[in-house]
This record gives sequence, C-alpha cells and structure tokens, in this order.
Amino acid sequence: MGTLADLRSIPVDPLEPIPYRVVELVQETVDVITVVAAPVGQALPPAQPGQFMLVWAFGVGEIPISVSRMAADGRVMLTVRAVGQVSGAIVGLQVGEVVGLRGPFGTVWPVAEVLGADVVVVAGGLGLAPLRMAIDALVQPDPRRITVVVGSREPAQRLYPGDLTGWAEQGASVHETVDTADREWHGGVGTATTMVERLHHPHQAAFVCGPELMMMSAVRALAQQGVPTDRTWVSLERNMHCGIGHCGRCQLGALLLCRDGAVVRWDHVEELMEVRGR
Amino acid sequence: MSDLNQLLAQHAFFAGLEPHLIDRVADMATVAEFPAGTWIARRGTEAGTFHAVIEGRAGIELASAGQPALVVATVHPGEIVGWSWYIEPHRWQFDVVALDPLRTVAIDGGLLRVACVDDHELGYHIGRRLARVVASRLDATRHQLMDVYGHAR
Repeated sequence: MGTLADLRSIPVDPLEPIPYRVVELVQETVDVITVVAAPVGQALPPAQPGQFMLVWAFGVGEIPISVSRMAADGRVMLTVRAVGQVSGAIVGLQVGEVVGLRGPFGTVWPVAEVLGADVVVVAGGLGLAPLRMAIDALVQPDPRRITVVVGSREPAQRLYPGDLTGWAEQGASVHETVDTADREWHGGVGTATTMVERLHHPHQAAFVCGPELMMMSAVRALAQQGVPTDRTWVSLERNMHCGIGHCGRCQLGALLLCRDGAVVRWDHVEELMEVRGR
Repeated sequence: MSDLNQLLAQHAFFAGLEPHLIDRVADMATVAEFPAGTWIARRGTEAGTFHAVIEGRAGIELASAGQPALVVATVHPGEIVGWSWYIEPHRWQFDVVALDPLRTVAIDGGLLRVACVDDHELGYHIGRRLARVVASRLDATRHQLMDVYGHAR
C-alpha cells in the first residue's frame, strides 16, 4: 500500500478537481472579487501568464477563470465577476470554504518572445486579469519599453488600481480610459481604441484582452500604427468545459481554445473573428 | 515661422497642410488658455470658435435637468474641440469644460468657414480632416453605446 507521500507524487488527473481552501477575498469592485485559494493538500502546477483554471463551486457547477496571480507558496488568485449561477456562487464564497480546481490549462502570453521589444498591452474590463502576470513579467526587467492601456466602464469599475499605479511608478507608460466619468476622473473618457490611437510611440508587439468587439477594434488600430499581426496576441474565450481539448465545446474553426488558446496569435484567428453566427 | 504657425503645423489635425494654408489659418487664430474647471463652450450657444488642443484635457459633457453632468469624451493634445462651427446651425451641441489647465489654438470658425468657401483647396483639406474626426468619434460612440464591459460581447 502506498504512503500519503506516494499518493501526493501521483501526477494530477486533469479531470479531477483538487481541493483548494479560500484564504482571502479581495473586493475589487462592487461585483468583482479576487478569490485567493490555497491547496488543502496536493497543489496544482503553477499557472503561467494567460492560463486558466476550471473552478468547481461544489453543488453548483464549474467555470473557467483566468489566473490573475500565483503566490510562491502555491496560492492561486482568481478574479471573478458575478454574471451567472456558478460565478455568483464563487463570488459568494466565504473564507474557509473549499472549491475544486483543475488546471492550469491553455496557452501562455509569449513574454520571453517579446522581451526587449517595445510592447503595448491593451486590456478592457476584466480582461486585465489574464494579463496581470504578463504585465508583471514585462515591467520587471524593462518598464520603459512597456505601455499599458486599460479601458473600463467607469472609474468605480477599475480593476487593480494599485497595480496600475505600481507599474507606472516603475516606469511603464500607463493610460487609463473609461466610458463615462465625472470631472474628478484623471484619465481619458472614451474607448480603449481611442486611447491606442493617441499613442505616438511605435511598438513592435502587442498583448490584447477584453471583450471581443473591443479587441477587434484595438487590434485594427494597433495594425494601423505598425504593430505586425504576427506579433499581436489576443486572449479568446469560448465555452471551456473539459480543459484538455476532448469535448469540443470551445471550438473556434480548427482551434479548441481550451487547449490551443486562450492566448492566440492574431494572424491565426483574424479570419475566424469575421465569421458571423446565425 | 511664427510661434502660432509652428503650433498649428505641429498639431496632428493640421499635419501635412501646405505652409501657405497654415499661414491662412494662423491669420484667424490665437493662443487661448483656460484654467481647470472653466467653460470652453456651452450647449446651444453660438459655435464661433474651435480649438486645437495643445496642452491639457477638455471634457465633453452631457447633463439632463437635475442630474450631475457626465463627461462622455475627453479631448487630448493633438485633437480638436468642436465641429459645430462648420455645420449649420453653428450652435454647440455639448458643454465643454477644461479638465486640466488647458492651452489651445483658438480658431475663428466664422472666418475659416468663409475662407473655406473662397479657397476650395483649404476647404477640402479642412473638410476632410473634420470628417475624419467625426468618423472617429462616431465609431468610439458606437462602441461606448455597446457597453462592452457591462455585457459579454
């Protein structure tokens, strides 16, 4: 019979949720929280920037959530907005409760590939969550080459304002815009694309994540400014269900986005994004 | 080249305009400064001037009776405030406020309108640039109306 230590060395079954305990809840906005969860026993492998976990709210269901940050001790940070039954249950979790995690799944932002280039990161709304670790990794070695553009619905809906300040203080160029504001707002009012159009500094690579209409518009503006489409990456979400490319629910053309995404190079998906649904 | 001509020639709205056309516009222009919080334009009043923003942000505001005003767009350096001077009935459609200490090149819209009729080359270039601004703001407004951050699209 194997010992407990032997059992812990068994590779994780990607379909088996691993119990994680909620150790902290960070209220980001009125309807967005970050759940900080620590492994109860065995830990999942650390997530890389852009990867996601499938999160079980026991008795309710399972949804994919991008990992916004990993702590050195294995704690996972998952930023969630309550929009449905499962996300509502996750937002309603209390410290001490247990969720099941599977993953990490999916492709990663190619941080190493763009290091040394002038990189623009464009995030809209909750799209900043999957980019958070990538921005950390880009800003740390060479902040002056990094431009961050963030669009939000309104100032009260800004995500991670402390991080935005921190990245700017380190030397990154951070530009915020919202759809509407009062006069106290210090940033721009308008779309993220309008803010992108204001950038006069040339960039050689781009990471973009947010609502798809926003991403398509921003990517076109970036292309007009000379960012090559084969150096532009976006994060696409579909109905990620199994996480390992078996069930096919997240199909986009020839891609299974739980396996071949969520981070994809724009020139690989540009035509697919023009296909209309029926 | 005078300071005013230089400011206009370096402004993104006028970029690429022939020097003799810059000279014509400069003859109708002056540098204007607005402390933060002051009005640049009020809705319904005559739109006699438009502004090429040099420094600071202007806020385009919309307010309904009894409600606090909302800034629906900001105008930044390299952009312009106002096209109502060009289109009848030449009345401002929105309130515009200086959100920061604001420096602009203020251009007499009435004089420029007449100049655009007299000189079709100038009229073409100004009209084309205004159309680009209007198209860009229309596109941005459509996306804002979609409320993409509020609904998954």
